[in-house]
Amino acid sequence: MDLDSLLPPLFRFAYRMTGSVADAEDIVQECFLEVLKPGSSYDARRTPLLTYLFGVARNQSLKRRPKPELAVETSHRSTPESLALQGELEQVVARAVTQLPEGQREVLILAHYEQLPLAEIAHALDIEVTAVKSRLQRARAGLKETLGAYALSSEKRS
Amino acid sequence: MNDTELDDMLNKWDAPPVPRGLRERISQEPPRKKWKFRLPSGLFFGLAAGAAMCFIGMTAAFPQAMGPTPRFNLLSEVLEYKDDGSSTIREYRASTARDGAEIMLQQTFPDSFFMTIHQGFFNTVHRILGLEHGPAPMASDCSYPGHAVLGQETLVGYQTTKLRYTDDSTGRYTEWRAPQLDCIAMKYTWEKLVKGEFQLAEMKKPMTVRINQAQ
Repeated sequence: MDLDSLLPPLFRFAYRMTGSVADAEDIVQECFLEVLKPGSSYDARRTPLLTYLFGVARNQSLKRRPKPELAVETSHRSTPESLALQGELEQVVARAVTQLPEGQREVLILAHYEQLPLAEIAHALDIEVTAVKSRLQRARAGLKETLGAYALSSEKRS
Repeated sequence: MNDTELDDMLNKWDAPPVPRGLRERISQEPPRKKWKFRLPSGLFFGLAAGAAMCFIGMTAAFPQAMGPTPRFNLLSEVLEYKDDGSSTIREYRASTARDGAEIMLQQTFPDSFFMTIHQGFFNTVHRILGLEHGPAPMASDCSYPGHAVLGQETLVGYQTTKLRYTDDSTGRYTEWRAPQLDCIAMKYTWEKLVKGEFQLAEMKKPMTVRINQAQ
């Protein structure tokens, strides 16, 4: 696995965990410093590199918890007038995800956005697969409630 | 809201692309990994065992090469006696002495290859570490406290002092020490006490003395 294939998923994960491009950059850098430093605990025979890096990125992300009030940076692309509604929806989804409890947020991001198998998520987060399943269920249930309410209100507005 | 609708909504949140320059920053100056040589534990123990075997082999094959040439070599044999009086040679011995302490140069056990190897290693370690210690300070005739002087005898051309230590419960130990040869015990006997009588159990007999050239 080369750097080009590792960077995007790591960056996406870090970004979604923190809601900040700058923090995500720092986290990705930290991840590689961690794996390359002398005496690194990474063992290629035990863990796929990306899974290990997800674990490191998660720990780094938890040190930089997103502030609930802080708007998630979604201005990475221009939003024409016609796409205003989609821009708003993106903000809402981002805020809903980043405001999930940490344990649920990391599981949801890895499972939904990075399509990581449950076993690998368990490995990366150092928890049981059953815990991954239950956290994922709770995260999705919470999001259904939050985003369902938003969908309902936007329907009324339109 | 069902699962599909939730997935659709979640997919509205795109992550930005990896910023330009991040890749370069990561790959530019990776921290140099300090080279650390670590042997796998199995290999380490294998090498250690190999080195030990090699050392044992060397000490067994060339015991006298492990140290300076001694002033003399006493070649002797040690016999063990059975209760019926018959004897067997337990070992052949090449030794020297320092201040009355016998320093083993080589011990060969005709009936035990293992003991020959074992003692070769053991004696070399003792010699290197200087672990041999003689009896308490000896007089010029090699007599020393606790041992009765029984007289003088000549063995293979060297005058010796015959000394004896008796233990009333176990037996008596008699030795013939040569003042000219750093008070080495050229001969000894161990007589164990059996039903009130002394019975010969072990004897060291001198065979020859070789004086080495001073180096």
